Amino acid sequence: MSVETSLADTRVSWGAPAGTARRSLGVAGKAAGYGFLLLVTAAVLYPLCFTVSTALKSPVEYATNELGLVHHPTTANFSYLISEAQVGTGLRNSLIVALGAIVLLWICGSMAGFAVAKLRFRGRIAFFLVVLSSGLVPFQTIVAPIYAELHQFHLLDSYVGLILVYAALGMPITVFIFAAYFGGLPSSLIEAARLDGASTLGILTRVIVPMALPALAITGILNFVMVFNDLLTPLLVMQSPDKQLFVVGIAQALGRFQEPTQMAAGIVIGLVPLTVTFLFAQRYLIRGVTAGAVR
Amino acid sequence: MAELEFHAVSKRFADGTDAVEDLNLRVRDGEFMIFVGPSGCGKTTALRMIAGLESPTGGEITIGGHSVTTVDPGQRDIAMVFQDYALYPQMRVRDNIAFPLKMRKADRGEVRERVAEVARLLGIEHLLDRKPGQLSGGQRQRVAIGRAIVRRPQAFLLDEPLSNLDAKLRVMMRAELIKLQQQIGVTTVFVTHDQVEAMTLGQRVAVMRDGRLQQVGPPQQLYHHPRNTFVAAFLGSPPMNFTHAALADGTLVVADERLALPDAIVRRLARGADGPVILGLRPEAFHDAGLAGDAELPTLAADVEITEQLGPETHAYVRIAGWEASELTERPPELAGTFAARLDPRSAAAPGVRLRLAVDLAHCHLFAPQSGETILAPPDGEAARDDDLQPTAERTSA
Repeated sequence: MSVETSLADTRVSWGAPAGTARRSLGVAGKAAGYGFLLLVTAAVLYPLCFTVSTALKSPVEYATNELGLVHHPTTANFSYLISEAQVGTGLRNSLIVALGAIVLLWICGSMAGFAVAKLRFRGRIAFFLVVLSSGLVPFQTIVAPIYAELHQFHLLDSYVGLILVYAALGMPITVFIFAAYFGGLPSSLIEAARLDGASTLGILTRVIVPMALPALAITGILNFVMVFNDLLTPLLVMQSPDKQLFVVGIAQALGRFQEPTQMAAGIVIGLVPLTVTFLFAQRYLIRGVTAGAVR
Repeated sequence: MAELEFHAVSKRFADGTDAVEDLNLRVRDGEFMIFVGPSGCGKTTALRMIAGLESPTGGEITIGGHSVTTVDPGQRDIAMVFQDYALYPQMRVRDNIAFPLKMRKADRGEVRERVAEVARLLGIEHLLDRKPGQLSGGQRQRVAIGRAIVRRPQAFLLDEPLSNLDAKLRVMMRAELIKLQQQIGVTTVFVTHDQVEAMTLGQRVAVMRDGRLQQVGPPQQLYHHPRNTFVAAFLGSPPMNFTHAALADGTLVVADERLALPDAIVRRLARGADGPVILGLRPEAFHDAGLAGDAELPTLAADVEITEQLGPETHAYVRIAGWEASELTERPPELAGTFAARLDPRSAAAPGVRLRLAVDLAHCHLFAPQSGETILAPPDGEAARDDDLQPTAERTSA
């Protein structure tokens, strides 16, 4: 009896410090976790803040205060870029090409993805594998044939030519995403629409695509970023300066711009369309992640 | 509205599975027909073949006398309610119901009118501007039915539409479906694995097993005169009791008991039927002999294992000395070897109690031990009703 009591006592006396230790470890662990997250956030945000801050500095302020925050913000760099350095033209061209490619990718990619995911035909898997594996070919190895083909079809230095190249480059991942998304939709929806009298194209356009906003958002953003960040393809296809894309403009300006503040302003301008697109599509992206969770 | 017919229809899937084999069946104009059977029996495949969502690998399907075997699903003028309802989530209820009309390029005013009419019929007028995601299970069910009936199809197919509803709602929807079918009078085929749904909903029930039609007829006919042990065991809850017995000169020998068969049963026996048989007894064939009852019935000593008090009746699972329940008797493992009896609630049956059970053989069933087919001829007047199992050749010549 006495042994039991003493054991119980021991347990009680050990129990309290152990609980406190766990709690304090919990708090310390949490603090360490948050500290780490803060560090990562700072590492991501610092270059962005530095760029925005630099873009708002005058060359004189930048010379005296290179790393610090801006004290006397000015929009002179932006006005110079927009009026003199054709940044606006580059942006417009990038938007035309990106949107053109995305629309083409949505149309062709959703059709191919639907066929692969929901239609039964001979060679379906082989077709899917060929489309997917074409995405593994390094772009550098097909630069010459692409150039030759565009030249043959008189599509060099044209929006259409560049749009077609981007549509081809973005097709594998687009078809893959659409096929994966459509594959998760219940087949009964398609069967119901078929019984209701819809054609295959009608099923795709009226029933399936309107349900695929997350897939549209993801493929849209991926391809938008691809077009906006790519340097090699526009250099290859576009020749006239007034048709050149934004990134090429910035790269070429590296030599022309004397001031780092103007470079920074160029980068900030380039970030705007991507940020706006992402903010707009964000809710669909999140919905895409949770899709299928609910019956 | 139209008659649906299967003529020697079979379906073999690419992996070699025979989902439906040599199905001959006629669903009459305006009839409420149930396809019932366990999972994998081919009932859903048969339904999908009517809809055109699966093509038969043999035979012919006709709707209203016209062969539709190769006709596109959209051209068959058939509507279907799916197990998961298959409502278009991005469309409002109104647009969901209007969809089949729009696909047929119906006039805008007509679409509005028909949608309103269907909504009124189903009591979902207040839901028309909601999206399917904002509806409860029962409401979605109604919308799915609305979408199916709005274009007044020739036939109406339902694939286990009640299986996603809770028990209470299921009973309610069952009653509504019967009422609705009577109101619109459209030929309806309803697929279910639930024998209670099959018994309560249909004018006729087709029982399927392993791709083959076992028996078709009105629920009562199937219940009281099952063609084989499968149908006998599948319909009824608790299921029928089976035991091995022998038949000799109108007397049934079970273990050491000699039970005289009533004349009504003997008359239905073929000559020379003596020999081993499987005796099938519904739970209601047993009565508590301790209560005032028919003194002429033979009685047996039974040890009660467990009882289920349901209020109006008591289910007792009993062991009868010397009687061995056949392997056909479906019971949970802990009740293996027991016989189910549906007793009067006043019965003294309780676990551990020994009862005298009276056995009413007037409703017994006798099956051939090898084939499992019944050896009792249908009672007068029942045979003529069952016109759906004729071989193809006879049907064609008829």
